[in-house]
Amino acid sequence: MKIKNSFLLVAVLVASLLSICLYALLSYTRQTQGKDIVLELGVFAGPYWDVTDEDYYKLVDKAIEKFEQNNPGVHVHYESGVRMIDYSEWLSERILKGETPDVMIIPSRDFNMLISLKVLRNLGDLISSDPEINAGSFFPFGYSSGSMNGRQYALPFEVNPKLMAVNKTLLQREGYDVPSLDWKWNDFYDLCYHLTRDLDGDGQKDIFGVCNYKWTDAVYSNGARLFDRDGSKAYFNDAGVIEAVKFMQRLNDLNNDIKLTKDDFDMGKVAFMPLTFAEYKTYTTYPYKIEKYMDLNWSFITLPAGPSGDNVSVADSLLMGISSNSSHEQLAYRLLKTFTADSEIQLDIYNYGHGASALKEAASSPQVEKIMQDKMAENDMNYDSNLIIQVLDNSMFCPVFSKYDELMALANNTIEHIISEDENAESSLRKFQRDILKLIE
Amino acid sequence: MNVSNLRQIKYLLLLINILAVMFIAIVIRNTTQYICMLGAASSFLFEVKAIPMNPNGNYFLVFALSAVLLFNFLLRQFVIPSETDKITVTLLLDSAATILLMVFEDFNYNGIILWIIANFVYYVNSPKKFLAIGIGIAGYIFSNYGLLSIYTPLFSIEKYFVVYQSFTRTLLFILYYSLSALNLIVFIIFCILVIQEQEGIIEEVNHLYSQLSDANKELKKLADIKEKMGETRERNRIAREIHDTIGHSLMSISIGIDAALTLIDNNPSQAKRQLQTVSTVAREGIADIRRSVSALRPDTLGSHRLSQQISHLVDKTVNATGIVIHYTCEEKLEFENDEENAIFRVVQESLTNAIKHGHATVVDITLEKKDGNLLILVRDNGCGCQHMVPGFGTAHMKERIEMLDGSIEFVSDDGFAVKAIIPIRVEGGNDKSIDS
Repeated sequence: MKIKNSFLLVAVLVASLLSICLYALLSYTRQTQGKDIVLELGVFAGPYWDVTDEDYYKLVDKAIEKFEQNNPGVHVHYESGVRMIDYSEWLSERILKGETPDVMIIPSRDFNMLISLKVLRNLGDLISSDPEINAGSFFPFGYSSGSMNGRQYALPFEVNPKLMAVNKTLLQREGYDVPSLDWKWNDFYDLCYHLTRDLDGDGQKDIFGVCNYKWTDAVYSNGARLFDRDGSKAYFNDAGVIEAVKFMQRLNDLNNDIKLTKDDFDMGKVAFMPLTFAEYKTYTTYPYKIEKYMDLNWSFITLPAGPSGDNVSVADSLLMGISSNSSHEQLAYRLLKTFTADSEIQLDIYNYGHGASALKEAASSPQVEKIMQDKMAENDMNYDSNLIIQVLDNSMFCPVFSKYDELMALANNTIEHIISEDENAESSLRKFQRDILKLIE
Repeated sequence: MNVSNLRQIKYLLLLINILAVMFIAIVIRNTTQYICMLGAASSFLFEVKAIPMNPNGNYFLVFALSAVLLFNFLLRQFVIPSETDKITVTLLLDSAATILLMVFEDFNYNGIILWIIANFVYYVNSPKKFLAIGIGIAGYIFSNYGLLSIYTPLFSIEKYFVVYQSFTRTLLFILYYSLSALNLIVFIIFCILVIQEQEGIIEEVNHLYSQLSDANKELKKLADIKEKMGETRERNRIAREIHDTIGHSLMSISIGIDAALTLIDNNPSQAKRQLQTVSTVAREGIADIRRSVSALRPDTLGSHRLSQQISHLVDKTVNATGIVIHYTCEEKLEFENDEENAIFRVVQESLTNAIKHGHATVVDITLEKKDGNLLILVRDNGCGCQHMVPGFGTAHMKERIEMLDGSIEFVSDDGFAVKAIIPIRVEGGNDKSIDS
């Protein structure tokens, strides 16, 4: 009886093991014998960089179409309808379930985390054995935005540099020229000093020099930085930062604590306003342009350089990478290249995307100007491709990491308080540096 | 009793280990779904140092590998419990499965190594066992999660516990740690039982050895007794033979000589004949003794058939003593040697007693088969005896008959009667009809 039972048990076990093996084999052959290889792509629909978007999937679909033509038998699948604000959570869920897309857009705040969890593949060997692209194919800030500790994990899909918008109408009326591209803080301060004034004598200032110029803009254009790439160090008590904050205190004094907004600029009351390339595109192209004041004349220049810095601004970078777990590495790399290093696709960023291309070949193509001019209102047809290229060449990448938002929120509060209350910049920043180091640790 | 305890402990140890690895796989799978349901995947990823690369695949593989462990265990337990080579193969398979299980679960549970060690302790008896156990112990030490996570990022099952609310979280922690602890405790109990079992075997061997030497002593004693018994039996037999043969001859001779002495004056020629008869009897007595001495080895009567023997004895006695003997036998007397011997001696002794003690003048000897028995009846018209004092003769008769599972009685009313009943052996040629 006992022996009979045990034999039965063994028989059942053998049967179950065999069925498990069979199942595994079947599912394996299903995977490999499928007619087509399917690559998963992780993308989101706009809005990105705070601008509304409708055509984003056109760009994605065009890239996919081109890739599929060049790689017959391979299909690219993406889940549409993932909003940008949900994308980080969506991607995290996929990673957690072990279903990381082969190629994905990388939310900048998640970049470090994705590297430390070994989700992203190091692209070093793929790029070094690829004659078609290298670090020099991209603007330096764009390429370095995808690297960590000297290893390349991602490539920039599109970038969003910062420019200084100039109200030419206002400057001309007040008798000033548009500043040159190598203007300094002093030039900037002088213009603001003269432009901030009361026109109708009611004691209220009616026009202003600048709005939305942030203390961070001053810091970066003064050659300083706030954090290192992975957010493990902070530099709030560096001389460059202190100098920038002091400069901001002087600028702030001109406005008498009046809080100016973009609307003031739109209404023609402000001469200078930093804005991103994406905002610039929406400003100057239909249908948004129609809502703005049509009689304003814009121009764009670089941001002013601080005494220790250059005419540089910070640029955002939208990165794409490959899953380290992808079973079709080479194909995934080709798809990544189609998105990031194919100048035809990169040109379409100007058609359908939000920002600019980090690929030198695409950004400096004469077609860019044509595309932009087509989209612009008549009196704004002053797209200066060379200026944009110069800005892109001089842009710097601002490292973003997991705690970046909370640390920056804290820094904003503290430093704006220092600026508005005219506190002693050195001692306040030294104290703040100590506080922030505790938070980092 | 101990062995079944050990078997149950093995079942328990395997059960705990399979539960532990499955527990981790299930927690990871379900918690992953739970985190996604909460929309907390992003914040979870920021919390952890590593994640399982393929939670669903791992889940499936952990179950498959657990099945391998169970299957191998059942093979060892029921199918190949005595085939050392095959057992070694299953143990190596188990070791491979264990390493894979630990890798899939990022060493969050390494207690399963104890299962492997336990199996090596239990099944392997060569010196290689110690090598395997040594490797197992080293593996157990170096596969410790805390130690490994210093050198390489490993996912932590505890991070998955803390996703839940306090009650569930506590429950999961308790389950996880109690499974690990229980595994260790059961492993220790297993080791103790194995040691006990080995001690038990030694005790049993000692016990059996002492039993064996006791039995040996007993056997020696029995052999001695048997030897003594054999001696006694042999002595008795010799005494019997001497009494039966020499006694009978000497008695015939003494009676013959007495008769000759009586006749010698009145009838010298008769006396002379008488003495010749006596002389013949004496010679036959000598022959008898010789025969007896030779018969002392195999207990046989010689080459004569029983009926002839008895007839010869009757004639001899009649010639020597002059009494009247009626010998009746309708049967074919064909028996085995020992039976023939006993029958003959009973008849001979009864005849001797009738003449010597009963002073009989007429003796009836009857042999007949009845109900599968042989009946021997020797009656005389002698004086009988009121109080029969058993002597050598009767005792020997009794012994001989009882040896053949028969019975004998002595009746003394008018004269004396000896009545012996012997069961006839079936394979004896009783019913063989010999035409002569």
